[in-house]
Amino acid sequence: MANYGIKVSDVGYDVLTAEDKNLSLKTGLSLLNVFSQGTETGTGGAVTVGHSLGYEPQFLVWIDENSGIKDGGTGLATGMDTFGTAFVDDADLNIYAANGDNIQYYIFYEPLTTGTAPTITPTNDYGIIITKDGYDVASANILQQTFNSEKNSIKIALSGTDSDTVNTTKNFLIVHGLSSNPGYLIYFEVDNSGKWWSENETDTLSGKNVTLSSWTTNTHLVANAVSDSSCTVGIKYYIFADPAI
Amino acid sequence: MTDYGIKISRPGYDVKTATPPQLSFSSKYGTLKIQARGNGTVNSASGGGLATIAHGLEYVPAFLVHVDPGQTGSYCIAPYGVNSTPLIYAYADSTNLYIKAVANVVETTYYNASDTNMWRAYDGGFSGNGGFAIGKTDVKINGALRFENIAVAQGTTITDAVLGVYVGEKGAGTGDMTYFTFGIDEDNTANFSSDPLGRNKTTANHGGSAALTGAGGFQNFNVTNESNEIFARGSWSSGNAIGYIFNAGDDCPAQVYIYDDNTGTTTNSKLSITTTTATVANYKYTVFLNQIE
Repeated sequence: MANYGIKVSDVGYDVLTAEDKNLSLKTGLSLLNVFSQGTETGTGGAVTVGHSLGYEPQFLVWIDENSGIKDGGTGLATGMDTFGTAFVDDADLNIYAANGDNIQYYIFYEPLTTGTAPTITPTNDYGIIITKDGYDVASANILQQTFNSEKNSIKIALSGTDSDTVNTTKNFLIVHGLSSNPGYLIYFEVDNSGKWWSENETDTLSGKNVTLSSWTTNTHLVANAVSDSSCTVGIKYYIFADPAI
Repeated sequence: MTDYGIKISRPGYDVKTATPPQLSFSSKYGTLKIQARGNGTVNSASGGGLATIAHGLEYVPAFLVHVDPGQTGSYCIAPYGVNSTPLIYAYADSTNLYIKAVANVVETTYYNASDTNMWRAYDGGFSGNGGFAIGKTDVKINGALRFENIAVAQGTTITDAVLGVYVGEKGAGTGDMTYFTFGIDEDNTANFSSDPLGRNKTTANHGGSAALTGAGGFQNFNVTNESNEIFARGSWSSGNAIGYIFNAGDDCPAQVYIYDDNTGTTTNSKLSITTTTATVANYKYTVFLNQIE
């Protein structure tokens, strides 16, 4: 690494020797810096959040499908169901949720793919700005910055693994210790196959037909594994300090 | 929080009292770090429907895959499915990220519940609607069945069509029934208020012999080729009615027949049509430096 810049290691790692995967901040890294975040309420149709970025941005959406229940299940929106789905294009984030469902969204500056993206000039003349490699901190636009203290970034509060035998169904319960339903990402593996799936997927390779769905409450991340026959399911989770609801 | 490290609050929040969501950064927390991004197209009908992307990390990384199943420029996070059936999904190992598309296989069943959609004719004897029969008593029996509101677009090649005839009565004879099946080669065949057995027949047909299912069950007949010939007709359109003619074989044994008299609501003859539609989607993937395993 160059002998200039800044790096911050994850808890438990020596900053002098930590690999990039164990750094929380380093000059040049591409983090998920938040362009906009907010809450919405489902309508039974599409809830449209305009982002005006002119490209498809990274996003995360969690939807609380237990309307009116404060600590109800809050799951990541994927493309699997009519409700609980979110689609992004170069102008809008469209979220499909049942009437009354609570929605939390994060739209990030980073585009889904590299390539030309319009210049987005930051507005702050104070705070901390760290650029990606090769960019002048005095002139870098937001996409050329690793970090800008004006912008929120998704923060991983805790991460970990778990593994257990699943006969037909099992709930993995992870205590998160945060004050509200947190955002999260979760992945799973069947029978130590080395193949990891994201949530709402069905493992079609193992022959056990394992599906993992998940949600958070105000105390736990819950991962529900369902399988056709007995198997070992391993999970890897990232729980964010940023709320899902 | 510990009394060392670095934390930076978001605008408007006092760094000394800010809650975790009010911080833009804290050395207490990790971050999601993008290692690579890319895009492509996956097609269930090509290359096994599998896109394989080498990530070069030598461990299993966290990832997000976004897919645009309609190729309209609108992306959701994988998996993507229809009616909770996954059609596009993603997984990773220590070498690659994989994005898989599978064809959308849909089976639709149509029921025959109307007297005027059934016909049977006994050689030299009774013929009329209100029931269906095929085989031989002491004389050969020919029949026809019709199904309405078939939701298949013109020009579609279906994967499978199985006509399940309800066996309300089975003949007491022994041996296999011999028969032929044809489609009624018309765009939108009319009901059987009059004898349909003389209507034009499809070139496609099935002929053979079948061991008969007992009364109370369903006797299945493959009518895929007959159906595809009708769907290929230039003036066929979705929502039309389709019909089939059954002729007993000359060598069908006596008292070997099946009969559906259209009684009961759960014992109607049925037509099950399976369509297979290729799944084609654009995808954009993000691989993070963060390690899963």
